[in-house]
Amino acid sequence: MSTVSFYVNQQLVTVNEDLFEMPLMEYLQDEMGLTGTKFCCGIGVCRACTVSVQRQPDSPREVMLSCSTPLSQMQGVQVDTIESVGEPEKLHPLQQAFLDKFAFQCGYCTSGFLMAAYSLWDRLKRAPINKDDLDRVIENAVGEHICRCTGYIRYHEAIKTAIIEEGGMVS
Amino acid sequence: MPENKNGFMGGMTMNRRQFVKMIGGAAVTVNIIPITSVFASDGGGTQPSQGFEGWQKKPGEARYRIDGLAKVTGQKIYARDFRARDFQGEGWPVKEASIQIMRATDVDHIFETLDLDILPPELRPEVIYAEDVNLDLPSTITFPLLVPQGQRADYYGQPVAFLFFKTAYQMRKAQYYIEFNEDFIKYGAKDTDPRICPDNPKEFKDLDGHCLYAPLTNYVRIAADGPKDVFSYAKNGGDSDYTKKSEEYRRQIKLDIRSSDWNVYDLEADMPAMDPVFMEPESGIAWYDQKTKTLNMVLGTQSPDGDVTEVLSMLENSQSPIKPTTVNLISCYPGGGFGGRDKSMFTINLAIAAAYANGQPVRLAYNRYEQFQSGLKRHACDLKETLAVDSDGKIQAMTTEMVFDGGGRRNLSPYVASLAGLCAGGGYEIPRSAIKTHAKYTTNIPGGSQRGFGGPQAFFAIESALDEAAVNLQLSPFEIRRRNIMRQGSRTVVGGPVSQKPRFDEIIDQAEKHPIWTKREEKRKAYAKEGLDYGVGFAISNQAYGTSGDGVVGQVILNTDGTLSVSSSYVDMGNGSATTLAVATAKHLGANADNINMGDAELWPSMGMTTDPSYTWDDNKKYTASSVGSSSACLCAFHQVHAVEQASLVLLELAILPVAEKHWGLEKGSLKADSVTWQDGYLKTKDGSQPPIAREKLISTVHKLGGITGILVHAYFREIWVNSEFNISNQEYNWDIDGLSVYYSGTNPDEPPAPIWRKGVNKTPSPESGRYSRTRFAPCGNLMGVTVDRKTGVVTVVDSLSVLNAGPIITEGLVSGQSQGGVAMAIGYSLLEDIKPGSEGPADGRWNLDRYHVALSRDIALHSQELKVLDPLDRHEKSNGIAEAVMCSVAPAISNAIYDASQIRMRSLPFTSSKIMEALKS
Repeated sequence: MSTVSFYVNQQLVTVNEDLFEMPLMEYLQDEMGLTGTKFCCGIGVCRACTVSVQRQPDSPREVMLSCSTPLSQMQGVQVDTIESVGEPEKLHPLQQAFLDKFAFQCGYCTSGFLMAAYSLWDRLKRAPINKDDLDRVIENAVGEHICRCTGYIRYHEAIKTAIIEEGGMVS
Repeated sequence: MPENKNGFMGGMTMNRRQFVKMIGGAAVTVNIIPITSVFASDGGGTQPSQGFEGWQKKPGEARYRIDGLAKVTGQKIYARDFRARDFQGEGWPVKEASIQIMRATDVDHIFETLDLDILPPELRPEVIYAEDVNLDLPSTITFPLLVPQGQRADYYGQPVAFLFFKTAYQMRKAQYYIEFNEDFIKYGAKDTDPRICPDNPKEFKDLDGHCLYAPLTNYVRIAADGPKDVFSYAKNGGDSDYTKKSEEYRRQIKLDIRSSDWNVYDLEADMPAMDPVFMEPESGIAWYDQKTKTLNMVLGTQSPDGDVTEVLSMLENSQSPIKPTTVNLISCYPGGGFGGRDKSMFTINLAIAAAYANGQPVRLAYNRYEQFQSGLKRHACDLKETLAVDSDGKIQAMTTEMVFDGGGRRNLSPYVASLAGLCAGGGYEIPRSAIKTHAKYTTNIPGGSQRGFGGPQAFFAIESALDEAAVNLQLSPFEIRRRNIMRQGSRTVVGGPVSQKPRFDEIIDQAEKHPIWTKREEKRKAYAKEGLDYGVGFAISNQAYGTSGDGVVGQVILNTDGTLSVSSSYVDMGNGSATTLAVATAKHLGANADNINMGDAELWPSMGMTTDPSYTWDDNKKYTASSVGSSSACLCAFHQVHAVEQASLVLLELAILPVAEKHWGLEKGSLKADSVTWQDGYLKTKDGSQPPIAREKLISTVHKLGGITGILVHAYFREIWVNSEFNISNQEYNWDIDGLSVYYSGTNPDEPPAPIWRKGVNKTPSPESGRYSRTRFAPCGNLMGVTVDRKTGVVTVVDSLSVLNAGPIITEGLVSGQSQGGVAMAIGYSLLEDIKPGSEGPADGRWNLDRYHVALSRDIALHSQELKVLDPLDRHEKSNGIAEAVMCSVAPAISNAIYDASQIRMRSLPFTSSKIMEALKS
């Protein structure tokens, strides 16, 4: 029986072929109890299920739509979910900015926005951009995400504020 | 605090006060338990306790949402996050069955059966059909819970069968075969019999061959020069001949319109149903524990108490497979609601599944297709409006008829239609008005209490017609409104008074001087160079909030450590109400609450009050007109905050001040609430005559002396708050409440509080006010700039200004977030969101977000959207419930902007590119 191995929040997991068709999100929730990654549309449109991945150990972070990515495609991928981003006692600057800016209400889309911004954060750390491009880059990162409560402005402000205040990512 | 393997904190503490419901003569103990208190190690509040110390700013202010930390770190708080195994410690079996509900996709042909043969044997579920289900219909449901085999469905989305899969894995595998498979549900012959309106006068009115949901709304008003109307619903609605007389006046108004020299604007408009698309599809788990006869349900709902009542009424059937003596409803944080979780069928369906699961836990978790197929919708609406405006731009008369598509379940549809009737008059003084608004039964997916509650449809009518009048009379959109707006003392279309200051004049002034308007011609030229039409449109709304009579409860406790705890029956759907109520204690107690308990349905029953309509406030000291209602977001800032503020005030006067008097050596009863103030955690006299006392010391002394340490109040609002007199320890007190219960130091906190019945009432609502519909409003204006691409028909919102009268702002981030969310949703409603009725719509089970488009950040003028909130008038002004206010006038503002851009009048929502192209051609 063939298997696929990948990492979730730095934990190695191996699944055998009878689970290959299972979407990553379902595996995270049902098999690992990691319910911070959310199901909403199930077809990769709303982006609530977004997780951050690295294809290679040191490669830049990318986003992955966990609701529509089968486990068969996960070999060697390193997945990070919202549970790994920060602790209540030590939040990531993006999480703190989401709080400070009242970026969300019901919060069900927050995980997706956070993980997309977290991936962007990593890319900007590696390759800073001109500050004038920041709005566009943020739009590219989270512009397809759906928020039904708060209307996007506060998410964008929070991400922008966190990036600028962190320093070193825009010039 | 240690985190357990399931991702939530601490251990189980379910020692909660209970209440009892009498169902069919049998007593059932009901516990409604917020999920976060289930897993709170401190047995404390319903908000996630981690990082509590971080959310507060100074007293009365929040640094961030009280529930924010849990949400931003991915903790388990939503119903969809839970599995039966998470409750293993409470005795739940680990293995849960996965439930799928198959629903009617055809309402014309009889339902025969499911073709299970298309599934491999190992994937076949157990199936229950209508014939297997021996349950009563809950009181608010007319049509069968499941479509009986051999009969046609009453509406699209009505369940035809419940599938019980042994595991989630089996269900997922089976879905490859049955999802989107038209052959799985077998239909037979076409049923050509006409549908007959059900013989249930409480729910239906058979009128002119239409089956309408009762009650019907009929508001006719003729104003007089003086304060009293010639005729109105408020004045005459209690008369036995109101209907007859209203028809006579309606005819007179129509005659006046046609025989006068007024300018008359006839308008017909339509809008489709809208799906709320709350982000978490409805989900839940349930388990009937056969040994203890306990029904456990874990779900997110806006109406937990009402849901339990419905479920228990269903189980009254003598052949019901389960007869619980206890119900535990574990209430989770809803992942969005917007009304779509208010009296949803989901709870009933989950209970049906639990009843027929033979003692196994069940999980029912809709996917998005199922949510579209079955979830409550904003009503589709067809409307006709005639507006008569004189040559001075004054509205002289209006007639409006609105028909809402209620779908196959009455739900709150007639009440949505009723509020639309009030909203039909907009924010204007209209001397003659005749309004009919109905919700009709159709076979479509049921409608419900969506954000706006009839307002978005109603304001579209009058704001569109008025824009036509402005153009015709060559008045600016601001001037024509300025000549007609309501002011304090004006009367609504039902004849009810406008008792607050709407401040529409300020709203209009701010919009008129805004660059979106003043620089519109420059922008028009600039966009023209890009081949785009540019236009600006304005519209206002006077969205009412609350209901026609609202009961609220609020509880505040002084903890032994000097902190405060707040409890409310209200559910936080994400609107920030927990945060708002947590800071509402500061006004009278000088500190925010550290511990918040939301969705506590036990508060009201513990007070021992009655709503028996045979009593009045005067003749029964336990009487009130309404217990507590559903959790609508608009009920927070004015209504729920009042209850917590009053509980805090009572606590100050009964618990804190007596201790302070003793400490300062003052005469008993000499200190009043308005003679003291809090500063930096210390109580001081305003005149500075006494040394400050630390709050912790005061509270500690209260506990030592065995005094009152907690207050639970009930308050009722209808035009005014009921004000009552209490005699306590030979002192007279007057508060804006009608019910009071107290906790004493050292008593068991799980026991109900002790009632202190009022001595009498000072102020109660007038009988007429029962027909005012609403008396509280959140006025707003929207100024929208749009571009219209004549080549493609695409309309884009490029500028947006909302001016809102919210009263005093409690938490700015929550208010502006609600407003921005409302604007985004309303832009989607105006331009994108389009549900087809019948089998062409989501009833076919194939609709998802790939074909139902909601607004994204690129659609909402992300970097040029502005909210202006009017400064509060004074410290006595009350905050307004603003959840829905901003969105209500967005659609007409966009429609008016499209006219300003391209001279086409759009009357059919949404304004899709194809409709725009058609209009441009014509």
